[in-house]
Amino acid sequence: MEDRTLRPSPQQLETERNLVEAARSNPVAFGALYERYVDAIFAYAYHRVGDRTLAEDIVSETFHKALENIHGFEWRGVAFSAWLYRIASNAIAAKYRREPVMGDDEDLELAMDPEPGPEVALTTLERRTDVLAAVRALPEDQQQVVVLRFGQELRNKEIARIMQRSEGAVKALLHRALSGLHRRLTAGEE
Amino acid sequence: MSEQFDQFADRVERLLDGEAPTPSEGANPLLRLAANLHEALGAEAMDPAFRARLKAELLERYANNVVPFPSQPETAPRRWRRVRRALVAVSIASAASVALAFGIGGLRHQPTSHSNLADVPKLSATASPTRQSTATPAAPATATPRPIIRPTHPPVRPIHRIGAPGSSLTLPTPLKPTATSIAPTAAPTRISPAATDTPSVRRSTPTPIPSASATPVTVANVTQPSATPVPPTVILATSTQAPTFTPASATPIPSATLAVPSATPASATATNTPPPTQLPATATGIPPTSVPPTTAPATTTPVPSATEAPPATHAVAKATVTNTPQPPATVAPATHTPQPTVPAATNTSSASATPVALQPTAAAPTATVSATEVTGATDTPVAALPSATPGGPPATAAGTVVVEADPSPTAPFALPAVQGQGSPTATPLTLGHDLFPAPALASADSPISGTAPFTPGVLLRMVSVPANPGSLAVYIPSSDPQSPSDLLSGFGMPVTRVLGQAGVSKLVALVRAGNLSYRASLTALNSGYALHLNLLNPVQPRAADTIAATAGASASTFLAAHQLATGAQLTSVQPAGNGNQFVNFTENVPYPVWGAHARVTMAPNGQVLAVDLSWVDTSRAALAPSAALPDALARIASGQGAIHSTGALPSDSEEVNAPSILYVPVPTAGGVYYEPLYQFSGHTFGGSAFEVYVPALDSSYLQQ
Repeated sequence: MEDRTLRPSPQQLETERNLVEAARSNPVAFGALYERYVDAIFAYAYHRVGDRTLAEDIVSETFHKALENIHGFEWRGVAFSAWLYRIASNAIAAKYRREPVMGDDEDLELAMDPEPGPEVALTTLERRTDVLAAVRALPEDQQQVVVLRFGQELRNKEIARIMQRSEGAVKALLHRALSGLHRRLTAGEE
Repeated sequence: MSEQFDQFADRVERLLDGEAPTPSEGANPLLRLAANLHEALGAEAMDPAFRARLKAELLERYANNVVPFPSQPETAPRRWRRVRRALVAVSIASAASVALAFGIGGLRHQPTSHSNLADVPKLSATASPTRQSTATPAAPATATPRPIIRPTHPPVRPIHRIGAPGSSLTLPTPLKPTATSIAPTAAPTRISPAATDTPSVRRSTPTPIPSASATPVTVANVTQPSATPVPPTVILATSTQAPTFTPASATPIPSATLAVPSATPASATATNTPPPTQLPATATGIPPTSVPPTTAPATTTPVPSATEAPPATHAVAKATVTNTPQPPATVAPATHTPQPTVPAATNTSSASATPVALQPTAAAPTATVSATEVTGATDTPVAALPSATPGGPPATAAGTVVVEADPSPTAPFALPAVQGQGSPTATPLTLGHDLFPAPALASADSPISGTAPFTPGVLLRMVSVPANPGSLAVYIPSSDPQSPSDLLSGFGMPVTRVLGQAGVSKLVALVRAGNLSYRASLTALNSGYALHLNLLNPVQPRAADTIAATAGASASTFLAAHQLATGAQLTSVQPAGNGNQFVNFTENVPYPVWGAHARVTMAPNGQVLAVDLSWVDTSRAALAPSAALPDALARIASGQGAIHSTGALPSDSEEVNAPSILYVPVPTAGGVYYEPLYQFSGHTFGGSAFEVYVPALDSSYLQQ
């Protein structure tokens, strides 16, 4: 599995801090931040909403808001991505409030690896479809913690900062989310 | 319980770190599920085109440093809901309190002497009307219409996706936009057949909007149209430089000589002339027929600076001197500073500025007189003043035709441009006599900016006389200009994001045109509009998207589809580098409009990369009786024409060709008029081309 970790080392954090400082006045630096995190934000948004178009909208909204507010961003030793995730989460929550978010099954088909045979592919697709559908059926906070933990591989501490909760609360949310998912998936099998 | 969560979190942590689960952990269904989630929630690749476009849009916005409109706070709907509920609660409470007050009042007004028991029926009988009366005011209080508090538009997504939920646009297909934008007429399949992607457009003749690829957008700086009014102060600024004429006028200038030494004093004289942009050239302008409109103003303002006075300018100026039939005193200053002869006839005030500029008083002005009169005449332009001063020797009058006839004091070209006409918004124009100002010769945008008043009495002979064109429209300033956003919507380009505004007439925004996004900069003018579109980050076309069509056809289709540049006539197609092409249009409605132009930059794949448009809105044209050609010639004979020459001026023995008509901008305080002019053309016997202009309107309609 590819390394999707976004856990920066202290040196990387310092570099990122300099980048953020530069991005206040230098569009090139902001472009570098964009390149660094846009894929992760898109994956997060897509896993949350299950629709590529909507995910792109959220990505766009996230970075536009980040651009608007980067002058007010305060560096607190946390990766810049945490701030972006929070913006994206708020954008998704706003979307949920405004309109129901429907998953796009076509995206799942597009994302499927065409290499395996049709039966394997169908099984994989079904399994993945079920899992993603079950994730999106979770309550919003559980959904968020699952996607951040398993999709973005963030640590509980980082998730806690993004969700503005305690680390213990995140652990509890994670456990409850997996329990709920397990119930849903096993109920579906039965 | 928290220990259980901690233990589970640790196991998940180890699992995500790649550590193999123990047999007992492998049997844990939640951990197996966690592993499945890790796989299911894998990386998702986003559309690289969207990725690039968004980055370009962000950087573009960053670079512009344009503060966008504040996006709608997410809590705004809730806040409005709370406010609305509070208002409803207040209304109900007030109604209830009123009802209660009336009810208590009704009880108070009951006769206290009555026995409760005995008066029960009576009480109920009297109470009924009371209740009715109290209920009446209470009912409206309860039914007070709630204030309709609607939140403004929800936050606009930075990039709209066709077919995306919440998108206001609907296309027949929700597929990703293709890289193809403009459908040329030669390839009609590229045009979206349905006008469904122009939801807000309410045009009389809906035109299909060409489909295009969704691409963000770049900036285009708004340039003022060439019809931008030139304030009358230009003339005054010119006139203040009159003292500088003195050495020049004192210096005899050889007639009809193009020698360089004679140009030397001219350049010295030009040292103190105002900046070139404020001065109309005397006779160095290129005739409008030979110069594209966009380049003509620059060409016709070649006032030499102090340090660099091109010899050609002086030579031309001297040629003007030589052949102008006006007295040398008038011409000599004009030779060195281009302004005197040009604005003379145009801007002379009616009362004090009698058309002495055209009088053949052969006297050179002294420096003192020139300066005094020039600076004192606030409304009187300058050029007339030197000639008004007698005493100058007719030294340079060789070769000119001196006539005795004075121009008519009511000559249109001897009248000033309208001063203090007021805003057309305040006083809407109604057609009638004395409404339209004579074309301002001093306007740098006018094709006759480099003209000199024609010599009175020189009757040019016509080679042929065309039919009278009939009544001609005078394109007047709009009294209620549209808002830029309405204009954009009218063009089938809904605004997706406002980037900035300047007043009520200029808007910088991201707009959609079909599937493409453009950065639009629109300036609503009182006589039309100026629009600049720039496509951000154009997508490289795939081979299949390449349109084998001419750039001209594609550009015409784009303009027609968006109802831009109505009446555009394709004039030229030029290479623009990188395989792109400039497609140039002019406005013909039905005669050429000076200063109106459109330039569309087309990509090889038929995509519209940029649009530079300055157009005159002729939808509100007023009509005025036009002048017949004999009248026009009579005006020329009486010195009411303006001549524009590349060299020598014509004498009375020259012939002119049949006129054409064009519209020229006439800047006034109230806006820009577009007034028709007869344009006669001819060549002197020496081979110099010249043009003669007279208003094509009946003189009674020209403002006195």
